[in-house]
Amino acid sequence: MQAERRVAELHRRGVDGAYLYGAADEPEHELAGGLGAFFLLTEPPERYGLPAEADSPIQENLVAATAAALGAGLLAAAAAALTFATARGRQR
Amino acid sequence: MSDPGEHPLGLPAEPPAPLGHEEPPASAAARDARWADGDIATRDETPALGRRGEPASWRRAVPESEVALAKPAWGDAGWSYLFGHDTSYAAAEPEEGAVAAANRRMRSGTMPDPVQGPFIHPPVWTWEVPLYFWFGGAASGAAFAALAADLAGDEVSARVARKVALGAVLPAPVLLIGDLGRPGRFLNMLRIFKPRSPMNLGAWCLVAFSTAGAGAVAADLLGSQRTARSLGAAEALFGSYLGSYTGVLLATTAVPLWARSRVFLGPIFVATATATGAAATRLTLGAVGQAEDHPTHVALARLEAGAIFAELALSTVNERRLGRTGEVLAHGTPGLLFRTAKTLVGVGLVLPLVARGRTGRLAQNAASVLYLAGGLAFRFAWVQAGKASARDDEAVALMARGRVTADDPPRGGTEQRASSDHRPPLADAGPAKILRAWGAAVGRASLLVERVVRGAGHGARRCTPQRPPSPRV
Repeated sequence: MQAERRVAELHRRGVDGAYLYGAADEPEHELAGGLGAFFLLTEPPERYGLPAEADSPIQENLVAATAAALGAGLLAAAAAALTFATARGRQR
Repeated sequence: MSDPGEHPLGLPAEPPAPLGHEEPPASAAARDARWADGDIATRDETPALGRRGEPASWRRAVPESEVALAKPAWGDAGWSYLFGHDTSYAAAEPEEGAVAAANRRMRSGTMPDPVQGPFIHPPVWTWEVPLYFWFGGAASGAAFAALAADLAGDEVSARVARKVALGAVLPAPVLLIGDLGRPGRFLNMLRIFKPRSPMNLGAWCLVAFSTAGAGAVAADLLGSQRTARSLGAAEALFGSYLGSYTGVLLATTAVPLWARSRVFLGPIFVATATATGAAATRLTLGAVGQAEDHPTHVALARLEAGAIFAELALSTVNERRLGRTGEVLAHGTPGLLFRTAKTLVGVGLVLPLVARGRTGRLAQNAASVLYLAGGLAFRFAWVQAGKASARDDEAVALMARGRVTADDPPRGGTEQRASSDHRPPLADAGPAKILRAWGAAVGRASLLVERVVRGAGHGARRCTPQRPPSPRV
């Protein structure tokens, strides 16, 4: 890839900070599983308004959040039933 | 730079001049003159596909063929102040993994201070959305109360609670449509079924909940007790998602405050929903003349107090673990809203404890009103705090690096990314295993449902030809 050759050339000329944002990563370090666009940058990504790492918030949070929310919803319904049952029991 | 004429890379300081025939007109007026009527020779209007004035016919592109409007003289857009026309400067292949190592080094090094935002756009939600959260929550809470009253054998109260649930859910679609602008956009949600999207599931759940609720109320009016009971149970089941999915909806965004609270938002929202729903039901029951010492009345008072207590406890724990990300909860408009909400529900918790006798009844009703108001303030506070958190550029940048404060160590490999805050990931103990198995089961089930639905849709779907837009008169 030409961009990688440019980064290598910049390194050779002494610009050590040159890197590609969004391309040429190992699979486990890819941004959000691959971006489809990339930039040749020379400063940390936060200087350009870009996050250092990126994951899909849905992939990262959906299952845990849904499990907690549904669990809490069912728990609340059960707690309501329990409160009613105890209140009635005490009345008798 | 010491000498302006000298380039750090030993390149000419002046950028190369563009080729003569590519020279743009000196002014906009000159360009307009060149593009004047009839003189289309200077302006290539060849469509990329098809012929002028006709709908484009789609044909697979021939490899190596020329593309309309392409300017060969611009090359691969490789022109650069550093390197000029000649792009063969970078002919040497980089060492294996050298670029990936540079990427890793620059992305995991020290974070610049201050960071250059904005990283994300704040949510554009206006007042309709938190108000919808409040109405939907109250509806699901009332549905819980109806189910509980049914199970306890109090059919009169259950009937009233089901009416409260239906009444509370009726404004919900109106508010959602108001937020979206027109009804078609809400109906578009119901054209697909996508378990991975909490917004889509929530729209379906809202429809299922209100259908079951309307059916239950209709069965009540027709005197069919068994149908009403079973529909009411279904309504409560849908309500357990309707009251909690709003938290999931917020948690599956890139807003640091919401994403970091992912396992807390759903339970917090359910607690608010239960409290507001029980409060609305109790006030309605009081209005239709139910005695103060009726067991349902007592149970609802206990339920709303317990739910508010759970809400406050969960919020406190969440705020403590959020650390740096949670700072937005204490400042500005969201901070004011949160303090207001906490004061309202706090007074509501204390009032019935100090008042006795006839004042006690008044105090209990005042507490219910305070819970309703506090719940509304909580909904607005969470949405406003999310907007503030999205504007907190440092928090967004730190969350991307898996850190809450700048002093925390940088995040490790991908397997640690799912850990929600600065604590180490869950140990492989019993509860963690159960949680993980539950999470995996939910994930697999949602994928399976989506695949089945998609498979069923494939057979029926037909390709509708696109009609060209009718010409304007």
